[in-house]
Amino acid sequence: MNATQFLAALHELFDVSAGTIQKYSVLQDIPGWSSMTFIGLIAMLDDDFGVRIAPGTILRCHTVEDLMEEVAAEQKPAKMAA
Amino acid sequence: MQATLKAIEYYLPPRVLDNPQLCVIAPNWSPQKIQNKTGIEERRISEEEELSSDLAVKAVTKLFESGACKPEDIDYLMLCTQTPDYFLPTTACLLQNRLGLRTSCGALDFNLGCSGFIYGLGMAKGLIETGQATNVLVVTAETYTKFITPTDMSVRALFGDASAATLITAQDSHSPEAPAIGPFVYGTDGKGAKNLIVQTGGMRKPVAGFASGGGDEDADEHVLVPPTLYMNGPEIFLFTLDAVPELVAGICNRTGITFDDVDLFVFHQANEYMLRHLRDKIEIPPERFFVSMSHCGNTVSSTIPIALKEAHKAGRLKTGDRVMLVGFGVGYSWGATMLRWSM
Repeated sequence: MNATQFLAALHELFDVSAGTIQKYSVLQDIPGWSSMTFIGLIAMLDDDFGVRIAPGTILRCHTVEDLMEEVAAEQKPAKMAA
Repeated sequence: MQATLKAIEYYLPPRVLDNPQLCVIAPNWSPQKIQNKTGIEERRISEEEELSSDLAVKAVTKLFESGACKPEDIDYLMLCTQTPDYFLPTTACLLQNRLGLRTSCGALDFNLGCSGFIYGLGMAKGLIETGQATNVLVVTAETYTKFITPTDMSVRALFGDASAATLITAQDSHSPEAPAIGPFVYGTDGKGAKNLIVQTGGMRKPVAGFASGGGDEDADEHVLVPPTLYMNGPEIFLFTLDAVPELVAGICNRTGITFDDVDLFVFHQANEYMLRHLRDKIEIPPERFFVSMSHCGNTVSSTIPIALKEAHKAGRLKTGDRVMLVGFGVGYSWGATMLRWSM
């Protein structure tokens, strides 16, 4: 996973114009954040990045970068196993 | 004898809550966004004095009027509801009287949500194939919207009220084909109870006298807290990602079938976005995956019979077709079965 790919997926999910979401953006301040986009985020992480991250863990991520670190940490064991 | 599904009718209360009306409550949403995220255009809302029993009477009356059966034919009635009229008596007993069923008819309520139709079919099959009953009415009826705070979009946008009446009847079983209903796979995980719950109104937290401010019994101000639906949608979604693919694999293993043997897949109609994700994850061909919820929303235990009825009306089901039914949700509770379509 790289940051560009992750940010592009978030832009598509939240349907916002390019550049709206940055690594330092506060996750729950992303325009359109709601219970439904939260579900979409879990689906996106599962589909595009192959990880399932508990909702509580996502809510503890302050910024997009925090979430990227969680995703990377989840992906690591799978890569090592492969 | 073997149990077979003979007829389905459903009823939606007339009052409509559509997406433009929802956007008045939640101005940061747009009708199109709600449609895109849920697959729902409108939901039906029961009136204050319109209870699950009233919705159930309407659905069963439609079934009788269709000519599928008469009140005196019914020898067992089961009602799946989480919004009964009373703690006691059993709402199904009230229905026996209102519907003019025989007094020799068995009647019971069972408390399940989104998996309830599958469990109802399982119990009906058991009653028929052990010779305890011949014509079983499986009725699902919910008025979840009475539990919903008007401004809570996470549930307001999803749930609608409805009832469905399904006739399961005994027929001679000399056919070498697969059973008309079954086999079944079930599952339960009460650890998920907290993620879809109405906290008050039961004996643990009765409504009257429930204190605000964290339940401080010495608080000066006691307010009546109406029973309110709480849903942690993301946790429920995560649960379905684990449970549903396993459930589908379980029913395939139990029956020895592959996806090629299934003519139509009908899942609990929770939320179209979630359904599409599950469909793609399980790799079900889209043309054999039926969704019908835009006109009524998530009607809990009635979603599967409503979708079956709509699939039949749309010509998507013909006699002999094999249908996989999958229910999952509140509890957590889940179940799946196969039907050989016989309507």
